[in-house]
Amino acid sequence: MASVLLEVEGLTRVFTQGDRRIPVLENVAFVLSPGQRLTITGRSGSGKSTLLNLLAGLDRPDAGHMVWRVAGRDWNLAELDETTRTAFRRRHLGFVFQFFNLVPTLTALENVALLAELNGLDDPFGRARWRLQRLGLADREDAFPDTLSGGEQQRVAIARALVHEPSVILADEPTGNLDRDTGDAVFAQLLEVLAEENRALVLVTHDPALAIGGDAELALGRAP
Amino acid sequence: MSLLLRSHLRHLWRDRWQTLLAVFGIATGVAVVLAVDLANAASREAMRLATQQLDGAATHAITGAGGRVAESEYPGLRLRWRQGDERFADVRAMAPVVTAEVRLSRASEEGPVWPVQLLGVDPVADAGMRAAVPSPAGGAAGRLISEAGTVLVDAGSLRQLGIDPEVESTLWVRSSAGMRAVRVIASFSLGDRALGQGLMIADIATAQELLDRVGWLSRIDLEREQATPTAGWAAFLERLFPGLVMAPVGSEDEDLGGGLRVVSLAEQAADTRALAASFQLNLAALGLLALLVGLFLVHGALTHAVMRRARSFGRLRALGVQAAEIYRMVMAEAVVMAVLGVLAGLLLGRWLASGLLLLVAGTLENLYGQVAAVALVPDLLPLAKAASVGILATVLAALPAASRASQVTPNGRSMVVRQADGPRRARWILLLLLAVSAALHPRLGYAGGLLAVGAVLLIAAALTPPWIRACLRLLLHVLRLAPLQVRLLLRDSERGLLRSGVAAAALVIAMATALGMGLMVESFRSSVDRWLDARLAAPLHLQFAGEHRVLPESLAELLSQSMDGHVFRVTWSDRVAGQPVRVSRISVSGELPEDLGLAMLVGRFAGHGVAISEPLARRLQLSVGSTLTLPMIGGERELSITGVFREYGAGPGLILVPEALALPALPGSAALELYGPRGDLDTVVGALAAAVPEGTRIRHNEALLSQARAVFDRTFQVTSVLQAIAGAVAALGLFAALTALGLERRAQFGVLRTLGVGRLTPVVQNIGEAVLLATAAVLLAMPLGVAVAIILMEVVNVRAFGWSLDWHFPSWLFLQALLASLLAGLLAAALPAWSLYRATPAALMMEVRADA
Repeated sequence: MASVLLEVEGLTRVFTQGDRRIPVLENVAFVLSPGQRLTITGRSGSGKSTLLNLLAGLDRPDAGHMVWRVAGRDWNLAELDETTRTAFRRRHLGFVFQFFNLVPTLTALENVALLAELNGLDDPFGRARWRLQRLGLADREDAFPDTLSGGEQQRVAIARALVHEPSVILADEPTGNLDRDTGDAVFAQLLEVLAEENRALVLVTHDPALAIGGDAELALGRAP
Repeated sequence: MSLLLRSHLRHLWRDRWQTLLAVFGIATGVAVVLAVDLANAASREAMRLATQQLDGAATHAITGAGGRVAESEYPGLRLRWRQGDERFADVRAMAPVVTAEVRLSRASEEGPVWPVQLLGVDPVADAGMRAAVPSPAGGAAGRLISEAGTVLVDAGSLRQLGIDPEVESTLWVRSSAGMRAVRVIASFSLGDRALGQGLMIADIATAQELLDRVGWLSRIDLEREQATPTAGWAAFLERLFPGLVMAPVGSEDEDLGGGLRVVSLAEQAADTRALAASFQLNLAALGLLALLVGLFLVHGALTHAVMRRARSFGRLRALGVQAAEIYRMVMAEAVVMAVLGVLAGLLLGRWLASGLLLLVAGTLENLYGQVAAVALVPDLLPLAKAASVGILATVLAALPAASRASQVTPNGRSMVVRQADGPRRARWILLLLLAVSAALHPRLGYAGGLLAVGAVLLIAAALTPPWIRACLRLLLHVLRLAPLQVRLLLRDSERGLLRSGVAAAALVIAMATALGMGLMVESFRSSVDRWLDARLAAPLHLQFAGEHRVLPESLAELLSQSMDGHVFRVTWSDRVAGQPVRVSRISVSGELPEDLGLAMLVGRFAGHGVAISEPLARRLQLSVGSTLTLPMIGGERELSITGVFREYGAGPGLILVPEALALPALPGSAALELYGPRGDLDTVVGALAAAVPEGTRIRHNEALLSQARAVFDRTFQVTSVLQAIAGAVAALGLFAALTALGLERRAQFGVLRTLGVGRLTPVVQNIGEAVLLATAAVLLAMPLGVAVAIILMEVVNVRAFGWSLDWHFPSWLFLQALLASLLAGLLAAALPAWSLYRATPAALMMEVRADA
């Protein structure tokens, strides 16, 4: 049997609004292996972002478990405290957001180096520079985010997600704020790097085109 | 209500905490202005009442050399008036007065003693001039005239002595002339606002006998046709700006010949109030500064509200709303906040005034012993003034924000970022510097000094954002190899200046004001200390009761045996070149300190001329080598000035005349300073106590010094309260700005937390930013505070009171300002930091999505 990176079983998340209970996720189960690409699809309100929050340890499930098998140990995020979950995120996960979410007061290089520095890796700026070079942004490393185009910002965000060499990238609509051509180009670059480095990808999208070619697809149901 | 207006008002409600802070800023400013005005008006009213009982409708008085008039002059003057002498054309009434402070007791030996002002009048001439004096048609007036030794005493004083005011009684009057019995034939009421000091009315002959002044009057009161239009205008200005507008002291006297002059009673009353006026001036100035700090809070809150809503304004513009409509809506919001703030401020101000009044009353008591009981004066003018100031100031503070809002284009992005407009700011600073130079022109007097302080503080406000930006950039350069989180903190702080700059400016103003006032007060304290040390260098100080001309004989021999030296002073009031002065005739004996221990500014005290106090020298523009003409019995004498000395305690003028130049001596209050006791001090005091006339107070220098210092400290206690209020308002402004920044950065922190940054990082960032802002603010406030102090000391104090002060800038005041600023920053950052600490990454990420 292939090794497992993430095992999710019976994952349930219910929100309450006054007396009303709104089940957003019910009994979600799947397995992710190293280097695999899992695409999570679904309409607006189907729970895609909620699932991503649970996988990242930003939120806790009401039932079920999700165990990351990384660095020789099991990390059941449902049971870990906030500090440990934060440390896990910092070290083992990489994030790419729809709206890039670069820190506006750091340059492209500094945005990328931030995670390497936070993780205490040696030569964070060297690592960051190399990542930016690989993504074709060597000449933009001193630029601040507000002077970069959307495509450039998203490539900086990808570099930032990879700089500390995480086991998996969690990407939330990574091309949702880009035009089709730019989005396709950026996504292709992301896939290329992930494939080369054998890193897993959990992709949340409502774009069917991005789902094509993935190793697995998890389609979440219609919102109640 | 239009939908547009409804939308704007809903914004006010949605950002209600920010709105509330802005309203609180207005309320605090209005409250402090109102409270200070009410407290100052109350203290002025107290002073007015204290003199009104004595002066009544009298507006002027005829005085003579030594502050007395020979009784024989009165019939001639009255005749001139009745015969239509043009000098008395506007005189409606003329009445002679004999007055002095005496003490009353029930028994001749033991028992309680109560101080009262003895007022000897001619009930017929005085008719209608003073409310407390009985009508000549009544029985009481008749008895005062016909029965020797009869008096009227106010009911409050009688009760103090345990006497029923309704029945006749006998009391003992203690004065310099000894102890005499008087018959109290009736009492009278001083009204609701009772004087702290009592009043005793007697026929003029009785008063002369009680005081041993037969043949002499204290003055002849005149009731003149009042008030040129300028006097009415001046009175209105004094009501409108109590404390800030002071009646000018001294004017040209009208010389009646024979050493007699007509002087204004209002001016005479103002003469003795230099320290109270200084105190009121400081209060009023601080009140306006608190308002200025409050205004920055309003300006910051409105600017922030407008910037937060740039997109919303953009959408409205895209839908066809005109720029002018947006402008009007923002101004309408400001007016709503102003009305709420003013209403709250008036209530808060009334409450604050009661608290300040206790401190003010304490100060007045300290300064002048017993004065009228202080109470808030019901007057609509200060309320109307505070309300108008609050609304106008808020509208002014809102103008830039409204203008900014109206410049938003339909894409919501083209907000005019004035922050980066360096040349515009430089022009403002240049203009303000010119204003400072113009305000310091001597013709503008002390008001110019206050305007200059205001302009310096506005320069501080204009300099704050670029100064903080420069500090942050310097730090960023120095710490270029520091961890990214440090650089992130520095860059975020710089970026946040668009929001926090105004609040930091308010903090700079508050700190510069507090530091400037603190340095001025410390310099004042240090100068007064040195002056007191010099003045009270003698180990023993004797104050004789009543009036004297020469050292009592019983003492002369004792002093030559027990002391190395002594200075005997006889002091009386007079006027020189239109200025009220006190003249001290100085007799010296034995070994004495150089210049009698005076704090000399120029020259020295010498036997061949007079030494004058600094305030008088400044007013008359005299110095060593000049001459002044001094009224003496037997004619005026021209005397040369040999020295100018510091004096903070004697109003506008003090002249020290060596014994040899002031013969024959006028009687006056007498004091003796004793140097170098031979033998044990207590034994000397015991021997002196047995030899001095009754009522003499023997005091140790140390006790006098500590009492004087305590009085000084209490006098400036109230300024500390107002400084603290201004500081608190500034801290609130910073709190509002940091809260706003915290709200804006929640999205950024959401991302960072998602990436794995710990929950303490946003806290450290928020607090770090507050500490950076507060530190940069106080570093700017320090030199500006010194500038404020120098203007207050070298311009305002010198021009208003003629006092020069030695600079004394203790390092602890700077440290205190730093700590206060840091504390304000930390307090301001605590709540936003706590809110960020508690927020979960998921909640923050939801805000990221909502923000996007």
